[in-house]
Amino acid sequence: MEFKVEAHRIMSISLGKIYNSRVQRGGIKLHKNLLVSLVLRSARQVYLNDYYQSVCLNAQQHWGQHEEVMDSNQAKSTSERVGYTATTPADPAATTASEPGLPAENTPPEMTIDVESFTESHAAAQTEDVEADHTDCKDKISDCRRRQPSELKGAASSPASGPTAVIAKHLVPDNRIGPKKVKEAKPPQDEGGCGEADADGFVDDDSVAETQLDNHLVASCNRKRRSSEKAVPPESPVKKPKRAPSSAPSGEEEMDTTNVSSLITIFGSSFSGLLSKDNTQAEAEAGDSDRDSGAGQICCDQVLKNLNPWTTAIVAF
Amino acid sequence: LSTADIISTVEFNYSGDLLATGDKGGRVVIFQREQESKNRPHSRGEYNVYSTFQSHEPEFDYLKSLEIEEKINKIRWLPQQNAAHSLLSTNDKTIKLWKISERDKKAEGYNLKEEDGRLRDPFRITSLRVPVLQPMDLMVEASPRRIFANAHTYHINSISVNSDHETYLSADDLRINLWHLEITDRSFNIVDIKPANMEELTEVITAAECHPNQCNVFVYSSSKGTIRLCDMRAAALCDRHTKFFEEPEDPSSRSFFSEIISSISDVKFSHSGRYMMTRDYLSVKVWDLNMESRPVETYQVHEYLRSKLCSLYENDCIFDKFECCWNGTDSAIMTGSYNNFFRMFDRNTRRDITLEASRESSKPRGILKPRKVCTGGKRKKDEISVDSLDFNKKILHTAWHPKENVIAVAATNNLYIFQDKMN
Repeated sequence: MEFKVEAHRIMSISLGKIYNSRVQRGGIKLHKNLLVSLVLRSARQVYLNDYYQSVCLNAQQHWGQHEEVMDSNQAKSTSERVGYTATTPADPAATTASEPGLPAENTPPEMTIDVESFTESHAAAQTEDVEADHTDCKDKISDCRRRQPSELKGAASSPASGPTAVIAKHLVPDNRIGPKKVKEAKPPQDEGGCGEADADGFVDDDSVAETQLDNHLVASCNRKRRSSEKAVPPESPVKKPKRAPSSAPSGEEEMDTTNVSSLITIFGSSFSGLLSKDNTQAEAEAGDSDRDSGAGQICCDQVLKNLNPWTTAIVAF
Repeated sequence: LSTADIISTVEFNYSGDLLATGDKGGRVVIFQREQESKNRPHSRGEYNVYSTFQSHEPEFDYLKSLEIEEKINKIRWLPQQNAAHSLLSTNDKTIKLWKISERDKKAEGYNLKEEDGRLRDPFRITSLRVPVLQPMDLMVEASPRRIFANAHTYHINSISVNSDHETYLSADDLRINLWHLEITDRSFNIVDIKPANMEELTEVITAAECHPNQCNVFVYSSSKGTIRLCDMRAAALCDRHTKFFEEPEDPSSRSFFSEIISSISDVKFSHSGRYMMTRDYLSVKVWDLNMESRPVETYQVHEYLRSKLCSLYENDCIFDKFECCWNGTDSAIMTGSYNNFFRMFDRNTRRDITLEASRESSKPRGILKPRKVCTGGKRKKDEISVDSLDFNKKILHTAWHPKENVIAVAATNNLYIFQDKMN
């Protein structure tokens, strides 16, 4: 369990370094940021590995208590969701992934604060950089979303990559495909910064999921498209950097891990986001626009792609 | 402590008579060794300031909204071809060729102007005379002869003069360019590791050097701990290496920071050209160019830091880029550490020594006392425990005289020059 704490701390520190590097004299140092991003990914991997191991353990032990906990934390009835789960086609990863909240309650509150304050400060800085071509992003997002189920099912069904699949599924930003557990939906939504989704509650799981996914991916898209199109989006759900402070009736702890993972997803591609700012300004290459296209998809794919090298890598520390 | 005074590079010239230092403020200070005087034949020459000039100024790139630091990243001397000395100095973006020349005579007795430069009234000139060269106090002038600019998108980390004495290479994080010393408006790109999609970036170039006697060969090191040797005769773009040096990782020592500490911060060929040395965060490795699979020698610089990597990551010390150097005969190597310690390794006897560069421990004509870091258990007298090391006092830059046992050690903003004890 201490691995998770340590990993989380290292992630916070790494994010701070990446953020500070943007204001350092002499410009962004590519080498240092590359190394920091590698540490960040390693820490994330360990964190999620540790986290999901404990999730699996808890799931096996406390399956009966699961519904009760859900009830106590949410305003909604759980029977609906349980029913939904039962009818969902077998996706073993999804089941275990549906309980991010449980172990998250164990995480000490101070870790949450680190990430939250960082999220807010960074997202605030990020807002001013956002130039979105919302339409394009939305198209890519819908592509991405459509693609997700088959990819993930594929990943989940291969027995050898059980934990990977779980992580992949969870990391895919706010993907609500599969069981639309409120528990699962809720935390990333805050991270994605949709205050309005919070306020709306979970009347309609689908629309909530869409909004959250949109927000998250558009946020990632926007980071990449910063220096390209300047079309003002018809609506900008992305410009909600501040999380609704106490919108969640449940404790802040349970949002913690998913926030981090979503945040890390942004930063997984934010390294290149840093660089694309550096590069597109530096080189004015035509090739940059190629890179930016399909950014939404790249966000998801990249996370999945990058997970593979590290699945076998990190042993106990 | 003014950060502008922090020394960022140290380099002896080919004869060892001149020692150049660059600092964060963009200045270059050159020291010259005094000739041994006849009065005191056993007294070794001391190094005194010879010339000081501002090499680089801070610049602002308006297009990218980036400030370009004036810090001198590297200085490399050119072989001396006439009475003047030449060196290359570089910051993150621009390389400059400086000519340092002496003037010890001046012409006096001009017809049309006074000694102070004022023009003489033509009507008062009644005779012609020939100006005569008179001795004057030595004046050392530095003038920028070439400016090699706008060739690097990323930060320049290395420059290296080729053995043909006509070309040199410059390396940034992703590219290496080849220049001709006479031509400033273009260079050839010989290595480009920038991926088409920057999101796939996994490694950067950290150092590069030309082979000391094969003018077609150079090496470059990466942040992944690998070294590639390239032959410029093979292709115009040396993206495919001729040799690839990598030591397999020890899986038992993996940690969050394995990747960072394996990043190579410096690579140097031996004078013979048969070996090369690489420095990563915790060790120095000597490689035989004929064997790519692993180094032939590995020296631990400060292994006791391995358990402190997390703290060193937090305070950014883990990103410190230590350099290393060979002595003139390639029998010894030297590199720096923390607490103003530096380490020397004798390759033949396998003995190593830790010395300290500080005012307290270096009295003029005094002998340096070996230091020892206590890694655990009882601390003996004169030993220093790992926790009392001062990580702000780091020795990143050291240089060894090409022929004699004279070393230059840069400790933050101070330069220490140590010589072998005379019998």
